[in-house]
Amino acid sequence: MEIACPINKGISTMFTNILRGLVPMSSLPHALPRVQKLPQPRSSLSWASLTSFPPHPQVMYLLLHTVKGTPFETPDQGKDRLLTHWEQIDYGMQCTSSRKFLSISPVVLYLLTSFYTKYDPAHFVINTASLLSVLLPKLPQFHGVRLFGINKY
Amino acid sequence: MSAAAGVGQQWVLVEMVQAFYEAPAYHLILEGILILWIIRLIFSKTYKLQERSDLTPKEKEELIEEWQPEPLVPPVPKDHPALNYNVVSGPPTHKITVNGKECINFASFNFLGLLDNEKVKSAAQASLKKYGVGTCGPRGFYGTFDVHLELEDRLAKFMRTEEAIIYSYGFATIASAIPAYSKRGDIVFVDEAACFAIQKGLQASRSNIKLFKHNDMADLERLLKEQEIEDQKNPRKARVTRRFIVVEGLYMNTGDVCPLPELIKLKYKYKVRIFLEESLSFGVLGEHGRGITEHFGINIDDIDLISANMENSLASIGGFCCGRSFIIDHQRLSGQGYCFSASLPPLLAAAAIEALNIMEDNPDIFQTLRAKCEHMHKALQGISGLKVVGESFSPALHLQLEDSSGSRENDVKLLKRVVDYCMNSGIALTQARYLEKEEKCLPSPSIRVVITVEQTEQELDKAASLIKEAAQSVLN
Repeated sequence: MEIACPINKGISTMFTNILRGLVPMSSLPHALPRVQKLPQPRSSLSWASLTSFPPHPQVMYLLLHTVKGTPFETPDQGKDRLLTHWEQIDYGMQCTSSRKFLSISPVVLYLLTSFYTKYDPAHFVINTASLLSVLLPKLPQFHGVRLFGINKY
Repeated sequence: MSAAAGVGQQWVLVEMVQAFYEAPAYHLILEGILILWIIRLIFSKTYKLQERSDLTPKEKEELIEEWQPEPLVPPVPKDHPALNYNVVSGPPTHKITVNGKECINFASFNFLGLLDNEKVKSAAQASLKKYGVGTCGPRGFYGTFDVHLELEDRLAKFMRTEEAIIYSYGFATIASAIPAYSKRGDIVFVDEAACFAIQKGLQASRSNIKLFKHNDMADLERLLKEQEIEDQKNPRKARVTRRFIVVEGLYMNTGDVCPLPELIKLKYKYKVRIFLEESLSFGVLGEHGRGITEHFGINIDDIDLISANMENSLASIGGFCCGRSFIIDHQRLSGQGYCFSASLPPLLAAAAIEALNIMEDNPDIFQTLRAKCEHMHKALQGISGLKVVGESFSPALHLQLEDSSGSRENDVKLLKRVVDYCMNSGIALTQARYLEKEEKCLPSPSIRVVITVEQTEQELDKAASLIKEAAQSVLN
């Protein structure tokens, strides 16, 4: 049913060939600011955290883990109406290449950001909190879990 | 300029690397854990979450050994009705030639006698000369002709709704309309006597189905109240659940009408949407043939969707849905039977338009038809062994056995003998047939008597007396 559906795989198919689309697409918001900023001298610490695209974790969380269902009608009579985008990727198969990429990219960003902010404690708190908020929903144990009934229906 | 920039860049990097050496331990430990987690993730295999087969390979082998294949073609008795069908030669009009014998047709749903109407036939022939036979394409791929748009327009105007949509197969009309709106997690309250097309539509919709007893508004209200209590327990879920009631105007399986005024009251009380299936009541009930809404004097805007097939009164093929534009337009992309089937052949659309013209020009045929139905209903009373099931103004009545013999097969055989007796004497009747294993609530076996405008009173009386004779000789 889910696997042999040749006509319309919906949004999940978009991410199965991820290396073709997702890697360049998600690198863009990070590459563009850096191209300009790196060669210039940075003396103030507060600028450093802006080397990463600022709302990146929040936007990713919103797109992947808040919005449910599909923006178009699917032929499976609304099977994924209550599932977030992350849960729909690859029809619920865990640890596929798209999911791995989307899990690893915030961590890589976090490592770079903490390097750029010179391991400052204040930045540590903020960046670790946003990293955890983006990483935890991606764990397989959290598939379909809605804490405190938020976003359930 | 570039040299200064180069020096600046080096200076920043040096500072960064220095900061790395002075980094706090907890931060570096966290980063180490994250890197280890990344490595573990990269090397993990993909798996499906619910894939847990609790059977050992040995148990699987045992199950495979035990399995006996069923025959591809199951054994079927030689006298199964599907293997011995009656062959009709010539058009199934007022007089029908069955198995070489000419009978008066009391079996085809040709209520208004438009099957053999000269004007309808010439309109179809003119359309055949102009367009050819088929459309060879769905509505989206060059299958939309002006006759389709004209027919939709005319139907919408006739039913006094905003818009109508045409399907090319009557069964597929309601079977596509229901799953276009009702999805998984939605609730549909449907009558037990709903026809097979509605049942297939509900099955395709994957919604939660709640059956209520036939025409029993108290039962329906009980189900609605239960649903309301559940909704109050979980208001957030209730807010995303859609609720529908699906009823037929004139039920094909029982010949009654649904109590539409009470349904409208329940609709507004419990906030449910009504889908009305008017295949038998379109062109039969109401002063101008507009169906059960006209019959009860209800505002057409109170019904969310009316669906009917054009294969009965309009003597064409296909079906239509009509309602508000907002509702009907959705089916243009979501109605599976609309998007993925070839469109209605233009000659049938032209025939349907001409049939609508005739219906609009002669509004008195509906009253005539209903009078004949009442006459026949009265004439069929008091047959020993058979009881009449259906409203007095319903053109499709059922004659069921008063005392069933206990097994459905025997009842069917008895009724077949009655039908054969009548057929030998010149009245063509039929039994109501069902896919016995597939129906949700299988109705009892019955003979279906269809009254059309073309039958004269003498023929009605003759048929009634013949059925009486047949019942007496067969059942006593």
